[in-house]
Amino acid sequence: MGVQQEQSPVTVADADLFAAFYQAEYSSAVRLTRALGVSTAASEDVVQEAFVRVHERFCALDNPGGYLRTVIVNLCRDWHRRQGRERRHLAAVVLVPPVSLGARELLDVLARLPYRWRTVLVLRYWADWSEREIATALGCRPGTVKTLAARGLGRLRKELSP
Amino acid sequence: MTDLDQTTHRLRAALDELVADVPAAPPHPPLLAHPVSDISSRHWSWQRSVALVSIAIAAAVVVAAVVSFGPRSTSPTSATKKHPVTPIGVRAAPPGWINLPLLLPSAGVVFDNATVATGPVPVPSTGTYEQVYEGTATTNPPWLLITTVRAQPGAVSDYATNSQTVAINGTTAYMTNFSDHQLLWQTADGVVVSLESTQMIASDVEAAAQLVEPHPATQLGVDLSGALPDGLTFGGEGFANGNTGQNQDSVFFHQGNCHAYTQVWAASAADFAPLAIVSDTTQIVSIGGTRALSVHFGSTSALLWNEEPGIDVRLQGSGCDLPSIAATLKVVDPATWNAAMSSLGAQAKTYTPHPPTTSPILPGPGTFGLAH
Repeated sequence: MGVQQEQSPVTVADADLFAAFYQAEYSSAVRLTRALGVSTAASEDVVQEAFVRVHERFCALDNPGGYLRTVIVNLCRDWHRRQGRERRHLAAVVLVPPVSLGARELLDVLARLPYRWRTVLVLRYWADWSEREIATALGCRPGTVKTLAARGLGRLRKELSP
Repeated sequence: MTDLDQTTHRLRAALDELVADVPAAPPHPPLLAHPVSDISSRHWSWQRSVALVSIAIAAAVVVAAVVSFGPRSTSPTSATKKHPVTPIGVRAAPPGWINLPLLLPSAGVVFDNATVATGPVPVPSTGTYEQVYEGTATTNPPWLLITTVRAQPGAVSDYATNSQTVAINGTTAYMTNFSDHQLLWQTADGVVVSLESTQMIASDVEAAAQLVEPHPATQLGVDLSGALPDGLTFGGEGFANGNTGQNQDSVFFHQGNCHAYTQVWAASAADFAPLAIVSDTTQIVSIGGTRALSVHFGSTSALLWNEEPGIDVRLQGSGCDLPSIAATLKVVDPATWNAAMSSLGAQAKTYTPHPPTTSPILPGPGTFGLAH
């Protein structure tokens, strides 16, 4: 996931590699964005922005997929922060994907969790990231990830219990 | 299956359902949809696209950026000062009203027409009132947005279940973390006060909240009783999302092929955000030391800035050197203003401001929606 050097010129071959990378990662990137609570309408914009950021240093990345996912986690956090402010200025029209009642109940509870709790649950139990990968993306220690996951699951169980 | 397994299984199933309709990738990255042989156009495309994304990012942050514009001349500069909406200009305005500065371009322009208020205009009171404070660090400075809005009783009660409670001057407040901190409470007469922070620790947000003295619901606004933590200094204030349509003066003029107008109104810089989002390009520029938002729509350009706290100015035109015109704008005395308006004869339309007649939309319980 590390960056080997700051910038490299993009060549035709690099561009073809990037196009293949884009094809391979696009759908999973949108799914991750949606799972992290970004609206349907905004998720593709977030993903597009993430790919642009990856492209800026694509030639220098030894794990562009990991870098892409870390960028997405950070962009989703920024999106949620902006939402808090924009809600006061704009009447939000949020397109909610149709899901079953049971799934909606869980997603509602998930949406009410603090962003880091929610992110840890999604990355750990849905995207199957390791605690170390999550810690890197969130900029915290693996032990913190473990704590956040336990708290998040505890809150989910409590809220969903009959 | 254990409770843990059941919960994680249900979580996985719900998220799978949520993302089931995600489309496949478009055939090409939108930014690479050019002939492979044309590498120069590919580079151009990427630069252009990155620029477009940068504009989008700029538009997204513009709410924060424009709210924090430094006041031009008469504004308070320290967090220890109080910041009520006070009358501006040479005439005293009654409570709830505000004088628009009498702003004219210098000699050398020809006035075409104008629509001006005959006196003070009502302060929009149906939206939210905001003050922004910011630190001095050049990277990741702390930032605090104080918002007040009228709301139905119990508007913040839903936060009791998912928040830490804090006592603010005898009132129960709710601290939410995502991962920055937000503190919400409601005063006895129904005003919801929100402190939204960035790069501040929770105890500093709580300390800041203890300094806040909300105004009555009929006025909105807050005073501060001391200096904020983190060296935060006043960055701007104003109303947002209110009924501000008629609360403005407009003066149209031309100079050669340049046709332009000024609008001065009582509102918040936050109202600039929609303009920035729909414009072709958006930049932050400096006009005589004042930070301004520069936007372009085809051949038309506009500059927007906070002239004074709660007072915004828009200078818009075609075929103009707007920064030069902006540099010559000045607040004039009533006699000069009246002379300029008189020169327009029937082209100067006046209106008498009335208090807003629209009923405020009061957020009810559970609908305040500031935090997640």
